[in-house]
Amino acid sequence: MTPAGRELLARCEGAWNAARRSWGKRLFGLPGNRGPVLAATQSTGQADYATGDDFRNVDWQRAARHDELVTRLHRGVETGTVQLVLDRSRSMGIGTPSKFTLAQELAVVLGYWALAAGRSVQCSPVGSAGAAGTLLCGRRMASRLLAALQAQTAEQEDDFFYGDLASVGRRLRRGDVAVVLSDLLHAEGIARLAAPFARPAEQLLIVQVLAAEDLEPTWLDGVATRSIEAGSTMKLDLTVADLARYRAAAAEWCRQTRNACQARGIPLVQLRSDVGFDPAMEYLIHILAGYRGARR
Amino acid sequence: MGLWQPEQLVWFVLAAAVPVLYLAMRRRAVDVSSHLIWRRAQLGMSGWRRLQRILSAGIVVALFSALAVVLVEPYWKVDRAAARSMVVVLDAEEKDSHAARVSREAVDNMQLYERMAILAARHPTQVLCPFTDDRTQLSQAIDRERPAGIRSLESGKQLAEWMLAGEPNPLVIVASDAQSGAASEQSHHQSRVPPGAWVLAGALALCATEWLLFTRRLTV
Repeated sequence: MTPAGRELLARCEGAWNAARRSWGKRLFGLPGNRGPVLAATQSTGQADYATGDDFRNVDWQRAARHDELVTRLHRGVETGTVQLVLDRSRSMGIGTPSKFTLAQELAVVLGYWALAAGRSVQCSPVGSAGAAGTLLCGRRMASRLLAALQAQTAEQEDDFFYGDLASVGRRLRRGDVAVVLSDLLHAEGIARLAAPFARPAEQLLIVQVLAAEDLEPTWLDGVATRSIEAGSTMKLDLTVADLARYRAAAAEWCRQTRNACQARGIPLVQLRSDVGFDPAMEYLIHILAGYRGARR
Repeated sequence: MGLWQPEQLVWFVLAAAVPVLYLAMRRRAVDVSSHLIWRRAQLGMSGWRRLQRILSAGIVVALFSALAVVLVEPYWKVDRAAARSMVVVLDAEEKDSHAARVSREAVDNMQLYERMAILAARHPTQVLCPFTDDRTQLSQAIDRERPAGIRSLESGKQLAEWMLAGEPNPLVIVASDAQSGAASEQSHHQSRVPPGAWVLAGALALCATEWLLFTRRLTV
């Protein structure tokens, strides 16, 4: 693990403590995720306890009798899995720092929180749309989660992201949660994003990351904008009034996105890529702690 | 003054470079995440916007062209038609006399395309400088003049009229210390409004138009 990765995990731990203080045992602070989540599976064996193993899986009776820590192993489908869906489309590469950089860090943090809360975490493997990645369980898997997420790059088409979503939507069971990190800059917006999910209000948490250029561009006069996603070009002659109009349209679009999520009961966190890691964490915890959505 | 003078030529080249650079300026290419919000803000280039841009570019080019014209102070064809052929009959009693000063003023007031000759009013009449438009040569001829011999203003005038026969816009300037009114003959030179003033006025009008267009762009 790189020093930067180690530092990021250390910050995840700090953020986890702050989050626990803020919302207790609820997963991501969302209502309806209180209480322990046990793997509803069959026990297949035992292994020596290793750092990071969930204490709920430790065989405490054996520990009392023989003074040794053993972890019970399980087989089968585990409920309460957190699926991380990171938008890997090229538009995520825009911004300084890029939207993808912040989305990656947030995915690591949210994945770490899920692991710390005793959930299994799964994220898409590199270079394939819709394939299921390795199921990670226990806090000791944080480094593997970090490696899996940091290997991702924002070089794919839009369809790739929707392929991931459709696949995750099919895999999701009751009690599972999909965390989607995207800029949501697609014409269909929330409607297409929520389509693969049977119960979006219970199964989705959306983190929208936008760049300063998306919200407040500063270019004046003759500009040829090229959509990095579609490849189309738009010739513009921008004035101060035009930029003000753009900012108003962007604010309106963000408001509409919030309303669309609110109408569907989907928790949404909107962030700017240049806000920095620590303020982003504070805002994320603040928004999720205060969320009183339609989730049962 | 004209384009053949280095100072004016430098101004002209500098001024001409500005519209060339303006025309050569290309749109800045920038990558954006999506055109979704741009379309929502309806910021596409409409017909009026394109026309506005072309108009604005045209005005800026015209403006700088006009400034270039003002800076180099060119002379028009009408100047050639109005150019005079002058003969100064210099009747000086001593060096740096009133007559010599009047002659120098006449040389200084020469316009483009005008020619002048300097005659010394003595017997026989001496041509100090033949017809030329070179002021330096004419001034040196006046400076070289040393009053000597028999003064004869009439023979000088006769030679001047003979020299100017058939020339367009002839003018004889008698610069004499003996005749105090001699200088008034050349003071009839009419100072015309320089064409640069009209060009400057046009440039200001263009400035106003551009300003109106620009303020309109700001308040759209």
